[in-house]
Amino acid sequence: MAHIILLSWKKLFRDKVNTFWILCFPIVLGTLFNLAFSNLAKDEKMSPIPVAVILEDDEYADALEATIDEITDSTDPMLDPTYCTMDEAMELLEAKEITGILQSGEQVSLTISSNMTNDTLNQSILQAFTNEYNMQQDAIINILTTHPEKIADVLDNFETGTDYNKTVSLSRDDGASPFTQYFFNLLAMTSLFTAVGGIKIATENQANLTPLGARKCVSPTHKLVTLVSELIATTTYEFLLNIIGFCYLAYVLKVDILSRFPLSIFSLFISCLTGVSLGLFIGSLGQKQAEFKQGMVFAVTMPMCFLSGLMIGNMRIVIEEHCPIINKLNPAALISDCYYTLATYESLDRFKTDIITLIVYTCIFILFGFLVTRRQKYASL
Amino acid sequence: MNEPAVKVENLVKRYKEILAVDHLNLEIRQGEIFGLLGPNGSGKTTTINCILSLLSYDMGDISIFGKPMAPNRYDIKKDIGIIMQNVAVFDELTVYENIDYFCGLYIKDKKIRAQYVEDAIDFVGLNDFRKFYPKKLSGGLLRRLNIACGIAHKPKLIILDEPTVAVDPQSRNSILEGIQKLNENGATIIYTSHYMEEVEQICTRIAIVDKGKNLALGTKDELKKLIKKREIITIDILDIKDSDIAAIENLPHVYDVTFENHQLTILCDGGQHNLIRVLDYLQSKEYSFGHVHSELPTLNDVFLEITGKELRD
Repeated sequence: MAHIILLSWKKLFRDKVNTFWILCFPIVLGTLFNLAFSNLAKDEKMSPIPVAVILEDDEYADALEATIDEITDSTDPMLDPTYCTMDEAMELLEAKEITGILQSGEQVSLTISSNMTNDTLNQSILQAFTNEYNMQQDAIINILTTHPEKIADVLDNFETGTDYNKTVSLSRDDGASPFTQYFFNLLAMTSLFTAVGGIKIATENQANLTPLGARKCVSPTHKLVTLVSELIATTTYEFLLNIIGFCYLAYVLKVDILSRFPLSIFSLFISCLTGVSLGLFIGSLGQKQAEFKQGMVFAVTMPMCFLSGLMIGNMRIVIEEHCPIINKLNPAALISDCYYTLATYESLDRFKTDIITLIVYTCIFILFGFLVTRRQKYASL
Repeated sequence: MNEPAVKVENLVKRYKEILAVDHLNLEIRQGEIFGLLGPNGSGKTTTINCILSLLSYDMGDISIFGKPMAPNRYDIKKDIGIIMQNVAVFDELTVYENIDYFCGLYIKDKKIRAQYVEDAIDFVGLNDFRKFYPKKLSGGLLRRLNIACGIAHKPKLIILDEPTVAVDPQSRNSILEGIQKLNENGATIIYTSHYMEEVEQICTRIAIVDKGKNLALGTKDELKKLIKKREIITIDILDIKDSDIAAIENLPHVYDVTFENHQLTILCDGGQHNLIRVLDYLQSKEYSFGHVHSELPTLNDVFLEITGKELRD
């Protein structure tokens, strides 16, 4: 067995095409993702919302002006106010130079334009600000009218903020980049591409597919010994290549995938084993040549990766809403979810479910592959 | 008494509607070079694959060294070496590593294996190419590597399925000499080919197969005795009278005489000194003649007479 493993490693190491692609995918795509997402991250920085403020000649105007000055005076201001008249404000709104108009009064009113559909986020923020302001203003007036002695407590509450909902943090790292998900999917894709190695194991051990298979079949070494040895050699080699890709993402591109390192590496190993066994499974199907079956690997894994969100980031969320079973069955989604749960959740429950599902897949693929490939007598060659 | 190396009884193999092997019987003795001669598609490779238990078959019994052959008979498989028609080596391994890999499937002891691999490399003359990858080898050298992979474990029974296809004459001779050497070292050889010259050159006994049937079996002399035509005499001559043609036809052992394009062709069914008798007659009639050629029958003639078609059809 050791003899077969050793020479199989040599074969794999010298198979430049396989080695190149397994290494190339995470490095090239990872670098491209990194370049693209770093620019996107810059664009995501929040800028102050331009707003026109109209102060009416009444007792409420001073309070609104003071509040706006307070939130504008910070290093990261929320609003960019322009104090003007209603006519001027309407002109600015029509020219789309401001998001909305705040007007003082017993209740602060907000005017927004229905034409500015691309600015809905800022409009929502202004709406939330207006609601909060009016709610607090009403509360203060109400307390001053009914229980003036308690005004100090109320102001204290506003100062510190009362939260009636206890927030339980399930998150391990709130600052994780929203784009890290793409790298998880990239790792999943690379792991599944190790199926090409599995195809080779299957085809090189079946007498009806290759002369090499025929030569192995007539030898006195049990087929299972050859298969297991080659499965071990291929999985360990592909795992090693995947570790290089993983380390490139983690240490060179500084992608945040190092959470719980041992478990991440364990996920990587299981996903490589799933990939190789998937190849063994596909390679065992029918009498088509290895090249055709390699094509089948790409035809099967690419849709899996698409559905797990490699091309469209929120694909998995969309699937979760409409057909969640796909996420629970798709190996690419499961692999990607392993890294995601390790990075995001304190609990390992979801991670365990993902890993167990992958192991079940692996067992089914290997069992089927072995049952077909271990056959030693054929109807035709 | 020695068991036959291979015994095939009443073997039938069908590929759907096609009868590939039709009630074939063979008995291959230990220590001989047995030739399985037949045109492409005659069922030679199918028979070999059935013997090796690679193919399932519809009927028949196969035993090797007296033991019934089955896919899980590893005790029998360890004594068999197979050289396939298609080269079966790993492109990513060197000559040495390829032989080592396949030898390792038979020989577990590292030291013995290393020695066997060296012996195999010496045997096929690939010493200068031991670190070469298969892609860097010529067709002939690649065939030699293919042979080395099949014989490195020193098997008692070696099956060579058309090992010289697409090989240059020099490499072919080297391969044929090697096969004879393996036989001298004690191995029983089964050699399939559609090249009658090769089979005639090295095989001690020959089975002629066509359409899955064993048409004739014996040594090459025994096979040649099976046919009427035993000697063909051709003589270049300007002209000859019909009465003289009839007279030659009446000479002993002559059974057919034709004259076409200034060439006299005389077919004899055996006997000795046929050529001398014909030439004596022509000289007695004062005929001048040029090129004279006497040819003994080949296996192709045997095949032609038995099947009515050329071996390479």
